Amino acid sequence: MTTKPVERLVADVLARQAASIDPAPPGRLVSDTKRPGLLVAAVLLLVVGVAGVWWVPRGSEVVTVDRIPMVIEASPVPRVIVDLPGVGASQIVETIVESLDLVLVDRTLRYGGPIIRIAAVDSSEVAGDGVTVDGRPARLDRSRGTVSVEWTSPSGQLLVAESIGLEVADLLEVLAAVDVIDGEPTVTDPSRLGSLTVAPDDEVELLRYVALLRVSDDEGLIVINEIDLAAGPIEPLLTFTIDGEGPKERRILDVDGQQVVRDRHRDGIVQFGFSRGFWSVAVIAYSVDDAQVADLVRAIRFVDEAEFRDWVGDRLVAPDGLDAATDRLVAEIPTPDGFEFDRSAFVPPPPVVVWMPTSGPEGVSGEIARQTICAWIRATDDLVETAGDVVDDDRRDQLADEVVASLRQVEVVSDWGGLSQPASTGATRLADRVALDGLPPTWPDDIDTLRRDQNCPAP
Amino acid sequence: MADLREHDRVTAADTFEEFFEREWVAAVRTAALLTQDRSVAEEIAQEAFARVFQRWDRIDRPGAYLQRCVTNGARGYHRHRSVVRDKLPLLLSADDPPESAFVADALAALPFRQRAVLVLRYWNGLSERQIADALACRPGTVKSAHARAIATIGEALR
Repeated sequence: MTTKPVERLVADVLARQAASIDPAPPGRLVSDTKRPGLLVAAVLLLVVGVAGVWWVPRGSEVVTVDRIPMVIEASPVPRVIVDLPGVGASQIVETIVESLDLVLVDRTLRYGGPIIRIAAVDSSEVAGDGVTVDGRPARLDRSRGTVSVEWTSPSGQLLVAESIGLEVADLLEVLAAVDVIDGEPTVTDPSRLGSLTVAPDDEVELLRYVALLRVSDDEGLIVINEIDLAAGPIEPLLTFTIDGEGPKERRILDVDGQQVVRDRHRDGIVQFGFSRGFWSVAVIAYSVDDAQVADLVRAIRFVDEAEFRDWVGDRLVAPDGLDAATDRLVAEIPTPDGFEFDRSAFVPPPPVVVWMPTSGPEGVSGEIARQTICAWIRATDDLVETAGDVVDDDRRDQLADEVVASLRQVEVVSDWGGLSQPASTGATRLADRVALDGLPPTWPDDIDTLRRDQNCPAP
Repeated sequence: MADLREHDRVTAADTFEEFFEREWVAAVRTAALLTQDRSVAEEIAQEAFARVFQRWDRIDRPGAYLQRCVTNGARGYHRHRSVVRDKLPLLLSADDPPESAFVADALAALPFRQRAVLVLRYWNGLSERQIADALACRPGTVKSAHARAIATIGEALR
C-alpha cells in the first residue's frame, strides 16, 4: 500500500492528530495575580469539581490580596466525628492544637488562601532579633517559605504565629491585632487586619489540621482507619497513594449531591474524600463498598471542640498521655488469625508523629502485599519476555499457581520484630484474591512500575 | 516537535506559571495521543500539572516529571477504560494520505505501552532511555515494545 517506512507514517499521523487537538489556552487557569496558590486551587477545583458549601465567616473584615477581595477570619478548627449507628470511636488519637487560625478566603474561587496559625506557648520571654509586633520585640524565623514569629501579647502571654506565603510586614501587622482573652488567642482589633499581600514566589501550602480517628463498629471491625481534615481545597485527593501504588479504581460518587472521590486499591484499602465548606476530608477505610462509603460520608459531621470532646469521652489522648494511650492501644490491637504477636517486643514509634494504631497488623499486611507483588514479578519476568503483552487465560491460571507456590517460600517478618506471619497465610490470601478478582487485566504493563515501587529485586 | 521532550529547558529562573503556559498544549496533546481520547486529555494534563506544582521546589527536571505524570495519568485512564477503543476522532481530511487511516486505526488498537512508546518516540521525540524513564520500565522493554508496535502497524498496512 505504501512505500514509506512505517516509522515515518506513524510520525506523520501523530503529528496530524496532535495538530488537530487545540486545547483551551492555559490562561483560563492562571489568575492574573500570578499566584501559584490560586492556580493550583483552580486546577484542583476544575479537576474534581467539588461544589463546596460556602463557609460563612463571622465578624469578618474584607481585605484585598493582589486586588482580589478576600475575607480574613478567625476560624475555629472543626472536629470530625462519625455519627453512624453501630459505629463508635473505639480508639482515638488526635492532635489537639489550641490555636487561633486566621483564614483568607477568596469568594470567587472559594479558596482559602494563606493561613496564619497563632498559638500560646509556654516560655518566659522573647529574645527579640530586631523585628517588632506593635512595638513589642519579636523573633522571626524563616524556613522553606514558612515564617514563624514569636512575640509577647499586650497581656503578657508569649505567642507564636506561623504563616506561609505572606509578606512579613503584613504578617506583623495582622499579629498586632491579636491578644489573649481567657487564655485563648483572639483578634481584639479586627480593623487592624488590614490589606495583605501574598509573596509572589513562595509556594503556598495550606497548613493541615489532622484528626486521626480509628473508628470501629460494634463487632470491633475497623470501619475507618483515618480521617484527615485539612483546611482548603481537596489537595489530599490528589496525593492518594499507598506505598507508591496507584489506585485500582477511581470513581466519583454522588452522595446526596455531594461529590465524593473514591479510590479503591488492590489491597482492599478504600480512600475517599470530599469538601465541605472550607474544609476537605480525606478518609482511609478498609473493605467498604460504595454504599457503605455513602453512609460514612453522610455520617461524618463537623462539630465544635466541646461536642467532639463529649463524643470522644475519656478516649481523647492529649500529648502528655500518649505513652499510656500507646500501651492501651497495643493491648487492643486485634490479632488476625495466623498472627502471633509478642506484645513485650513491641516498641512504639517515637511520639513525634501521632501514632496511627492501625499501622500494626495492617502494616504487616502491607509487607505481605509487597512480598506478594514481588513474587508475582519474579514469576512473570520470564512470561513477559516470552509471551508479550497478550497472555491467555490458561497461562494466567498457571501463573497464579506458580505465584502461590513461590509465596509459600516467602518468609514474612515485620519490621517491628514482634509480629510475624507464616508465608502460607499470605499465599492463601493471594490465592483467594486471584480466585475472586483474577489477575489485573493489564498486569504486564504494571510489572516494571510495581518492581520499582515495591522495591523488588531486579530480574 | 513537542516541548515536553526538552526536559532540560526549565531553568532556575522559570516560574511554575511560565512552565505551565509553555508546556500546557504539549501536555494535553501528549495525553490525547496516549489515551486516544481528547475528552480526558485536559483533565489528565491538569492533574499532572497539579502534581508538578506540589513538588515544584523539589524536582530538578520538571519537564521529565511532567512527562511521567502525563504518562501515568494516561496509563490510569487506559486501565479503567473498556475494551472498546475508539479512534481518536480527529484528523483525517480528504487531503491526508489514504494509509493514514490504517495507521490511526492500528495506533488506537495497540496496547497502551506500545502506543506510548510510539507517541513518546515519534511525537515527543524522546530517546529510548527517556521513554523508559517516562514509562518506568527498562530500555530493553521499550525496544521490544517498539518493535512489536511497528510490526503490528506494518501488518495493518499490508
